[in-house]
Amino acid sequence: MDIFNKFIESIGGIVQSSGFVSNDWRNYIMIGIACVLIYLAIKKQFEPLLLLPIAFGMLLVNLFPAIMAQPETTLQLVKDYMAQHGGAVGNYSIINLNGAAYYQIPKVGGLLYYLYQGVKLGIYPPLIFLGIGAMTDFGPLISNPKSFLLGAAAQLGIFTTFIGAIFLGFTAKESGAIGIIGGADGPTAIFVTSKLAPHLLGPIAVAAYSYMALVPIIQPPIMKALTTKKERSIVMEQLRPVSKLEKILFPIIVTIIVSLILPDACPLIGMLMLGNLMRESGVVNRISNTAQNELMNIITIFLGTTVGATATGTVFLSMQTIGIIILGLLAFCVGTAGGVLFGKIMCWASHGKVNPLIGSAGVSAVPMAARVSQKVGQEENPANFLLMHAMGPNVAGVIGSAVAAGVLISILG
Amino acid sequence: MFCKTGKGAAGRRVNRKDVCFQWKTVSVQVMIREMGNVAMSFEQKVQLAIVIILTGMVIVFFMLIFLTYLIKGYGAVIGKLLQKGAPKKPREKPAEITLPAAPKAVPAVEAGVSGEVVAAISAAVYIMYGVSAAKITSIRRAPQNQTRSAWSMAGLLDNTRPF
Repeated sequence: MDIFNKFIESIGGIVQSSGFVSNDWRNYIMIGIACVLIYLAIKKQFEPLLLLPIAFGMLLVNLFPAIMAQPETTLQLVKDYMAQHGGAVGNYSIINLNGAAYYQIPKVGGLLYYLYQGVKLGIYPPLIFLGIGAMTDFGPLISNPKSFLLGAAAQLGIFTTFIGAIFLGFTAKESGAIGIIGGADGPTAIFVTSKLAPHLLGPIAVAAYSYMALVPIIQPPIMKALTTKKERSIVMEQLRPVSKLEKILFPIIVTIIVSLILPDACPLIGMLMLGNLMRESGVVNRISNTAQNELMNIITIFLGTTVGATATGTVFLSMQTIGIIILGLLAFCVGTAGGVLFGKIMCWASHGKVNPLIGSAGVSAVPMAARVSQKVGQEENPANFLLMHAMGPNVAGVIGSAVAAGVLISILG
Repeated sequence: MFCKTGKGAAGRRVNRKDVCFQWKTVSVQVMIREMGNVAMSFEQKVQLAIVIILTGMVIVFFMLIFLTYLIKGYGAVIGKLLQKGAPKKPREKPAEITLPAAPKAVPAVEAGVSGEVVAAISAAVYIMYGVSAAKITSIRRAPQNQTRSAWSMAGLLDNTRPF
């Protein structure tokens, strides 16, 4: 009978500790949303390399919230402990409070809490940039440095979205974190959000990566609305060849200049250029390959899963999230429009030598935005190959969004 | 609401309930620190928005314009150095041009692929890899994805491959 009672108690204890008892309705809604995102990542292939770990992290934290629990220390009276454990002495440090002795019993944090420290401490995004730099060819930008201006113009989306967020009731720091979605750069968005508004990391990351996957749908209508058929048909001159020495000097010079003027952008720009220097130097192919492949894959897994694990029901299921989604769309649209309009200015200033469509590639969704410019240009003129011309503003946008991130952190941080 | 400074006007001290600053001395960082979670008035939001958009765009443009001129400058310098470094060859009578022998190995091409397409693919491979590093052994059509065009698939794969 005693055994049976203890058996019933054990079963009761397991039931009490199960997710069915401890989770509430918000967790179940988030589980549903996570499943939808998994479907979008796998079936529709919406940025799957990041959306899948983000969605699964969201699923895990809403099934078992303690997976993100912080480590803690509880105090228990020594005599109570010994009474519970049949007189056995615990192997914990003792602290005396008000004449009574307490054990300091540590409780380990959840798995994803420890992996999340890479996000919280701003480690993962710069490492992702290291891999991106190792994969990026800045040749089109070096051969046509005016592309930098298009990369700058496309960052207009970041700052105008800041204005929208401020007037919607977000705080200054939250508005800065929401605005950076307009940079169309996932690691930058995560880096800035983890510094300015870490409690919004989940919705901002989901919004940023979802919109990046929708670039081919969002951009073309804006590009066509702001340009004429004649402008879209402009064929640009072939780019000049770029020497090896120029490609080696580029990352060194950019790092020095940007880091001196804007030190807060140094982690992102520095790692981006380190990766690029490893690629262009040609003398460290082994570590360049590691940065592009194994390191990127490892960091992507950790970053995606832990960012997704910040999307709990209380944070995600709020009017704030709807505001973030609307503002994120605004950021992308204004960024695209800013780049195209500046492209029109450059077209006019160069007497028709610059095709304004490449301005839309200033959002730093590499290389999807450049491909969109190519596709829209080819619709007007099938013999028009804008891809390499658009890669210049595209990679300039990566640098531009990192600089904008540095500005926001410097002012609002 | 902001206090005006001037003759006879006294600036009021900052406190959380009554956020009035001396216009000339406040910085944006101080304002944000003082605000915290306190709701901002309309004028404060306008001021902050203007400051952020002006500062942000000016710094981003300044930085990138500076980099534009710097890269143009060092590109020109390197171009001149490389030209100077190349040895000057004396003018000679042009030697008789002998065409290289045609390559013996030809790529196996799937039926239905025209010579122009083969030429275009060969040129693209040459640009990417150089003539010494790559030799085309066969050209065949990629399996067609039913739901996406070839361009769309290529873009998607390239976009996701880095990650």
